[in-house]
Amino acid sequence: MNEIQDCSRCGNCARVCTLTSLGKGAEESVLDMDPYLCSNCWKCLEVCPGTIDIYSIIMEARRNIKMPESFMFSLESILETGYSMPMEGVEHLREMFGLGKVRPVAGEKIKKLLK
Amino acid sequence: MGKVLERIGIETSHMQEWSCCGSTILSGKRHDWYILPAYNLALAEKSGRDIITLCGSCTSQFKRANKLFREEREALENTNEKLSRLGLHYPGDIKVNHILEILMDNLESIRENISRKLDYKIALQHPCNVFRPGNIAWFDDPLKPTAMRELIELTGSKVMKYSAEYQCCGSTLSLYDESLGISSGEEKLSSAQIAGAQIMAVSCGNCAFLFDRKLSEIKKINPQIKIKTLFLTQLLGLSMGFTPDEMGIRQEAPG
Repeated sequence: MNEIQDCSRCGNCARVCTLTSLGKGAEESVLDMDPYLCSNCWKCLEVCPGTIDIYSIIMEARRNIKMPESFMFSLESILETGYSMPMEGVEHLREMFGLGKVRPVAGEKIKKLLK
Repeated sequence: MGKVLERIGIETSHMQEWSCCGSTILSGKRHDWYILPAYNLALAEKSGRDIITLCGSCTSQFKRANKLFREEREALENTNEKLSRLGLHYPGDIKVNHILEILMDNLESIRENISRKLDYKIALQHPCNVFRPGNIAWFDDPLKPTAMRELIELTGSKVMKYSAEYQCCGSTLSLYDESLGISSGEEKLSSAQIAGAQIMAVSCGNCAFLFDRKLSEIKKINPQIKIKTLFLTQLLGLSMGFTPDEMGIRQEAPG
């Protein structure tokens, strides 16, 4: 796949972008946007005539700036517990719907893995 | 979902000690995002089973990891070095299928098990990451997918076209910008409701999270929203003769 310098600024990605349909899209290229505003729908990848690796570029752009607080909260939760959302109450919900027991992973194991 | 799959001859079990796939949250921070998908794939490997996913994002992360492992030996070696700390090993070859892929592979068997015509008017929420990127998903048409339509039509329900049908739900967006995510959800639900749909069928946990768990927020900006969100397998189950209670549907289904 191609890199950012191969973008011809044709505007295809911006036209199909979820943010554009919500009135917050980029003028020409989704690569101009705040990378955290991306909704992960990846329509842009399907319409890019330059087969630019928009996914990797957006992820790298995210790594290069400060992570927003809400993402940070989820990230810390993943690193600590193995889950992006709190798992309390899940057992009770599963029981309510007659679903079998599922043992969650111990946070220690995730820490060991991602160390 | 388990009951519906069992009816068509597919035996499933819940993965013990599964973890979050990390989604784009982990990818937005670390280059070794593939460790968590690999951990789950290694658990499946250990139990000798393939993986069925419900969430678009998990589907994509697992498939993305498998693709990376096929192309970059080093990433797989690094992964296995980490997995060995937990006594796990991943050869890189566990098959990952989203529930829609499994159902589409079993259309005949589903048709044979349909015993009740539902006669609902249903709008579809196509899960982005199950179809895109096309070179990761390799399933259906990436921009105009038809799988959900084919499955819902088996139940005798009418699929209602609506203007925002092929738009992303906006659930992921709500993590960064809550009000933008909620207004995206409102746009989708109201557009479907105006088109005459009574039910929004979803097949991704992330979409369900926005349309169902955050419904009270959506109703704050549009109190007219009445459309009910159900998982596609719940609808198939009703059509196979299961009761709403057996399908985990708390309120009475419309119709």
